[in-house]
Amino acid sequence: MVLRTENIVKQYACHLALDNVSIEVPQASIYGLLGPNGAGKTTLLRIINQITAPDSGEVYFDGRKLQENDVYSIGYLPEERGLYKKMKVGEQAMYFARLKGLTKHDAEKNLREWFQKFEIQAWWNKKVEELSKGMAQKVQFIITILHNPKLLIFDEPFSGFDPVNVKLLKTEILNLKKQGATIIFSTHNMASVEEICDYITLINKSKNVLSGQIDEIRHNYGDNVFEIDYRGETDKLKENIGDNYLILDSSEQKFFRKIKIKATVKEARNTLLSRIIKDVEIVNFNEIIPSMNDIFIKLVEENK
Amino acid sequence: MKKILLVIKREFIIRIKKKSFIIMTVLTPILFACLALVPALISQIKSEKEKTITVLDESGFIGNELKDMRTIKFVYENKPIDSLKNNLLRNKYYAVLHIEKSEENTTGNITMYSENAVSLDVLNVIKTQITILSAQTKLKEYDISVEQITKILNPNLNIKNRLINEDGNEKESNAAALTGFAMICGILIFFIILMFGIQIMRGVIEEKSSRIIEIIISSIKPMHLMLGKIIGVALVVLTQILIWIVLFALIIFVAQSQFSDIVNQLQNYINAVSFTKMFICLILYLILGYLLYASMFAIVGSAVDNESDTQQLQAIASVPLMIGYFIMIVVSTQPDNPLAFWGSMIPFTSPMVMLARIPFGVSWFEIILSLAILTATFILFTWIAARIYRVGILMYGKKASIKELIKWIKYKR
Repeated sequence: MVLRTENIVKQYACHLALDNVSIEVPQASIYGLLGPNGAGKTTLLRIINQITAPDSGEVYFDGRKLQENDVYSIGYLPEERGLYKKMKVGEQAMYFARLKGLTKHDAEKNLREWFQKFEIQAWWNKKVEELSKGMAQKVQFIITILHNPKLLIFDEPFSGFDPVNVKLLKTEILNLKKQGATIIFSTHNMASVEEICDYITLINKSKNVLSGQIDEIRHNYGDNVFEIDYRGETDKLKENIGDNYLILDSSEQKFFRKIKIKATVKEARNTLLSRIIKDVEIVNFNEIIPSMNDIFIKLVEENK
Repeated sequence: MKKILLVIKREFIIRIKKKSFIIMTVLTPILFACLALVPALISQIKSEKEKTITVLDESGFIGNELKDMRTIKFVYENKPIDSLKNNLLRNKYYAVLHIEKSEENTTGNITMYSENAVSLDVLNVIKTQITILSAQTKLKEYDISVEQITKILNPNLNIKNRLINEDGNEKESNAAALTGFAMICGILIFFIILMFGIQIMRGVIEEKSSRIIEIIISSIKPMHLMLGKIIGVALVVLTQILIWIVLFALIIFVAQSQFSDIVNQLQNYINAVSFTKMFICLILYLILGYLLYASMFAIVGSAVDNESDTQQLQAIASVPLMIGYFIMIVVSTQPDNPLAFWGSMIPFTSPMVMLARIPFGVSWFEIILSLAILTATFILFTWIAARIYRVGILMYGKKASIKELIKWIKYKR
């Protein structure tokens, strides 16, 4: 575990921002922190970054308690982000890099490399106010990862980025993971969660309501709904399916028929298959796994 | 510590490089120099041509005794006034001065004929000369010399104020110079604190409104960021003052003759005031006063989202400063006013008030006590500011009231 939080509680004047939140972030994984607005995600990220302190609970980094010097091993791209408008891009990036503990030489070397990679060398001597928003976002991204942190934290990284930069960002995040970095990011964008996250935690109303590996979660939240495409007689099929299944939907396609069923009693898939395969030809057998989006909405609604 | 240095360096360089800083730094002394130089230059330009004034004295009081002035020469004619007037129009003379005879034993009507208006300066000088000459003539009748009468009327009185200290040493006091110097120091402190305090406030607001703050404080503690900012701006202040001193010295050195008045006056100040005491206090009160107010302005900056919201809260910092300024003005003319003592002890006003008092004699004990109170308050306020600051910089969307600021002090982190 690169990072572990244990029973974090954070109380603000009039509301509880985090209520006993524990998460475990494995090495070299991409960890999604999901939750509706105001659930407490940003507070948790701020606690990990030592911007605020928890009322109780503990954060462990690399197996020991989080220390002040750990800021050098963490890169943080906050949701509310900006740059000094009147400062030159290069100068500014150097400043942030040096605040993160890089020597002047290393800072400049790393920066030149990244500027080359993103093809923005020409911007080195420009003032930030002359940059487009997309360009400024690239600079912010570089500043976040420049000191090769072990742990990267992105708070809503895709909000406000244009699609081209979102793609670039995703590629770079996956690259960083390949190089061994661990990444936590909070987001609303469920499609990107399914695309790149290995683990997720869903925070709702200050509580950790769901944690785990993303595929596991999706399977666990499957409602045992199956979709079967077949050729043959519908009545025979229905008979073979048995009483333990509800027929949700049945339709005629051009070349085959389609039926959607839901199990009321749990049964191994092969048992069902062996029964129905007798009288019809199975074209397609598919368990319907809910998307993260569905799970998210379902859990949040349930908790209302 | 290394990070504070980085912040100090950034805050310093970014301000030094600003156009407004360069303009302020270079232009201020030049402007002062111009204010002092222009009158001198103008009077030099005036002396381009000598003018002649023809005098027709019918009274007999003047004779031919009018003394020539720098640009004016007097000639005496005894022609009828009309022909002189004609000559004037033919541009022979600059002006004609006609002194008529009168029945009583005095000068009659005096008229100055000229094509263009004669300047008030010239008229005044001529008036004085005529007054003296006519007086002289009359005094002769009573057999009194001019010297005698001037001695009686103008006995060259001069009250010296000698200050005696406990060791029995005497020293000349120069009330005018003292008041002047004290005022200059107090005003300097007032403006520097106000100007750079507002710069700190703006710097804090900039980081907040452009949303840089969260990026920065994931690498540096808010307290360190704030200290770095305050110290960085302090260095800017010191740099500016240093440059001013050098430029002033340079200008005065180059144009020594034009500034003989100022140099003399400065020498007066330096002689009259215990200069080392004054200078040490100026620097100490400037730095400590600045540090105290800087943390107050940092609080204001951290409590708002943008500059237009600062009006109300800014009063926390600017009102005490103004009060100090007004007490200073009172004290510089009434050094024994009870306001003087209390004003120079209360830390919010002491940087200005104490400086106004020092020239009139303040014991080292009082100065040290006042400095100690100021230092303690500045440390307390920096601590309070740091606590409000770390909460305030992450609060968006609402204008904090003073009540809320006090609540923030108690927050854990």
